[in-house]
Amino acid sequence: MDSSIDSKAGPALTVKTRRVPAEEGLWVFIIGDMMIFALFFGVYTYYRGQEIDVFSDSQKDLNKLYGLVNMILLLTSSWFIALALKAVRSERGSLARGLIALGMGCGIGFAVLKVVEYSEKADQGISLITDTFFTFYFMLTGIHFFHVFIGLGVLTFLFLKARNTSFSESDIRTFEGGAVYWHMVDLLWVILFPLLYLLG
Amino acid sequence: MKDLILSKLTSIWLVLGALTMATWILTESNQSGTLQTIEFVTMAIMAFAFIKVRIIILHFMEVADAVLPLRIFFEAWVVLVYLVIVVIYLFGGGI
Repeated sequence: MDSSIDSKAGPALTVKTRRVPAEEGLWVFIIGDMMIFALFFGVYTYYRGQEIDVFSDSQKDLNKLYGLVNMILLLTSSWFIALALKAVRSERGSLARGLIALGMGCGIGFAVLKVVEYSEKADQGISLITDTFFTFYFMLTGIHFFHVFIGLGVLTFLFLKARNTSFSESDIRTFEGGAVYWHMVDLLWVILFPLLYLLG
Repeated sequence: MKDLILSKLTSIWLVLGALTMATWILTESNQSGTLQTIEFVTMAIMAFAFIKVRIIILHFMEVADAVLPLRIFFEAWVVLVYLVIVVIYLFGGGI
């Protein structure tokens, strides 16, 4: 018998309450979106294997530094939004607003850099029909860019909603939903960046 | 504000940043490697990416504390999508 256990006090039990953050319906959308992107990643990698020389040569025309800066911007944006959710939960609306604004700033930075990158490609005469690599590049980054735009709209809504000084359970679920969506936008870029810019 | 900055979320962000920089250094240091080295580095780069994805899902999207079916789905998604990419990358030409 183990004498180190205090039989009177009994072992300390921590009951972890598992829950679903945000509205359940949102997760159906998130899961669907992530399944579609999983398919995109697989199809892209397959076509890369079929035209390895074309993909390797065209990949060299991308500015990896833009991809890296955008990666850091989205990770930082996600961090601000996660902090903002924590602020909302502790009823600190003005702090949440500031953090959401910082998160939006990083998101806008991402969008501006993407536009600069697209413009540079256009100046070089590179477009969607240049070759298979660039068809995938513009399609995948374009679809992701669309998600960023939607996300910035969602963050704007949360920014306005954070004017309140107290938040109901339903309000918090709304903030959780917006944050979950924005983190998904971030994680999709976490895969797209190495896949498009770095794959050797 | 200080309590937020000192929270676990900041450590997570720093880890994500460190993994991103590690990926970058790995890529830059392997510009003229052999085919085997390139394949190994690519698998490592993608592994780093999927570790980051798992961290974001569990800690930023709060799936770590979510109901088990949700957690199991995302854990499976991370592993399966990584494996699909790596297998197609390594054997893609012959599939």
